[in-house]
Amino acid sequence: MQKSFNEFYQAVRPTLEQLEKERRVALSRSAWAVGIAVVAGLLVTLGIFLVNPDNDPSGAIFALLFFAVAGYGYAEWRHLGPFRRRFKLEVIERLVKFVSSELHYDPSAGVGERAYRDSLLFPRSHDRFRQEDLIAGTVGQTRLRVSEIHSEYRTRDSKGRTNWHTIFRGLFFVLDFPKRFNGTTLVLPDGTGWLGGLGDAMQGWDSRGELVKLEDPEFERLFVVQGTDQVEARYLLSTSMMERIKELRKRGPLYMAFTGGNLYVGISSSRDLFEPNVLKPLGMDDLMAHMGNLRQVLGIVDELELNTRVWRE
Amino acid sequence: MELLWVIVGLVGLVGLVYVVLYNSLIGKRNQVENAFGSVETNLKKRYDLIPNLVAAVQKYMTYEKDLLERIVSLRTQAMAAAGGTPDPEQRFKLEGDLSQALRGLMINVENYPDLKASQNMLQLQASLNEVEEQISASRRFYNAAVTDYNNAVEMFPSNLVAGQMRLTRKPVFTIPESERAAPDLGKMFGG
Repeated sequence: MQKSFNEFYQAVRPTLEQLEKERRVALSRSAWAVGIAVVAGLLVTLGIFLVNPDNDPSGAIFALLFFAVAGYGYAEWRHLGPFRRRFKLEVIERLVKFVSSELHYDPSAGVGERAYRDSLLFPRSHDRFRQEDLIAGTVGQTRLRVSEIHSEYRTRDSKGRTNWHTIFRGLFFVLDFPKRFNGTTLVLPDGTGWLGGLGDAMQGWDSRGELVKLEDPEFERLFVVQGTDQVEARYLLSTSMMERIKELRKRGPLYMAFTGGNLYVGISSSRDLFEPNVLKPLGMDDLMAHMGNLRQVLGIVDELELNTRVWRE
Repeated sequence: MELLWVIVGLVGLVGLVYVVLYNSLIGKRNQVENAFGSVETNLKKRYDLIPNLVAAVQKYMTYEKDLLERIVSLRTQAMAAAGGTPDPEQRFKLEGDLSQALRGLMINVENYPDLKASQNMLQLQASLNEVEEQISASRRFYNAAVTDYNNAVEMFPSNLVAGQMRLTRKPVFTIPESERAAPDLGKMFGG
């Protein structure tokens, strides 16, 4: 495997070297853009002080900040953004194809709002939905689609300011599940543990199904399970499956939905995967790191043993 | 006069608590029955599967006649027990023995490469796996419902109402120790 990875590295090396040149150009142009903006900001504030020396100095700091942010915004739009896109298209796409020819990658697409809604995992309606880095295809016999998503809702405070609140941010998977099922079973992080019995009662009120109490105390402490069918929920969440889910939980807060014949998995994370670091030279290390991330993302199929199919009829 | 109102209030409160406890106990008892129904449905699926399984292996397995006979006889006994209404504990024990015998059979299949490779056998194994998983799921549901019910029957203050309703503890559906130690069917035939 290591050898073939080396071969892959040799194959993409010219591309990486080319991208490294582009990175340096993008970085220096961005530095220039920010620098010019800051100098312009300084001149403007200086001008204001010359015209009216009694001005409030906090206004000057604000103006300076504004120019710096505007400069960075320009750099991001004109230089850094295009570089990141090029990197993803040239390197990540080839990396995905290297891992499996059954997979394809699209940096600007996602699993879709439809899949997100169909999962029933996040009943709160969102005002903003962003997604990127779609990987789709099959791993073994399991069909998989995964992307990063970020859903948010908006509130306004009494002063009319808009605030954005995250509903979910992280990796979102749509997967085949080897067992057949008709109803809906949800596995959600348990946010009411400390409320004890009262928490149970409150969980019972959700319209997405009745509370399913499972016999594994650790699992019960970590998750709330809701389902439309008590037996089906236990059929899907076999004792070995619960062990695997607890293991997967170590990656981050976990949301799972078995509904509409699909398995949806959301793993919360604020990490932005598959992005190049513009401040560091590109090299084999980056490639290895992205490879590691990719393998971890696809590893969910093995971790949940989705390729084990002994229940066919 | 005031004392009278206090007494009326207290009696009303006790009555209300009684109604709530009574209804909750009935709800729990019905949940146990409902869960038991789902266990029975899945056990019945297994009864239906056994004749096919026995027919498929009979031709090959000349040395395991005893085991096959035991499976057939256990199935007959279990079905008879399901027909009548003897105590559930006896019934669960029969089903446990049947599970164990079936697992024994599946392990023996390994010794007959022709049989193991046959399409019919693969299908039967998959069906048996499926049924066993469903039985296990409904058994867990039943046990959860029974535990909930037993807690209500024994805990204060619902135990007072339960005693008056003549509700008693119900047995959980356990599996024999040796069966739990047996290898995982899924792992054996899956891959």
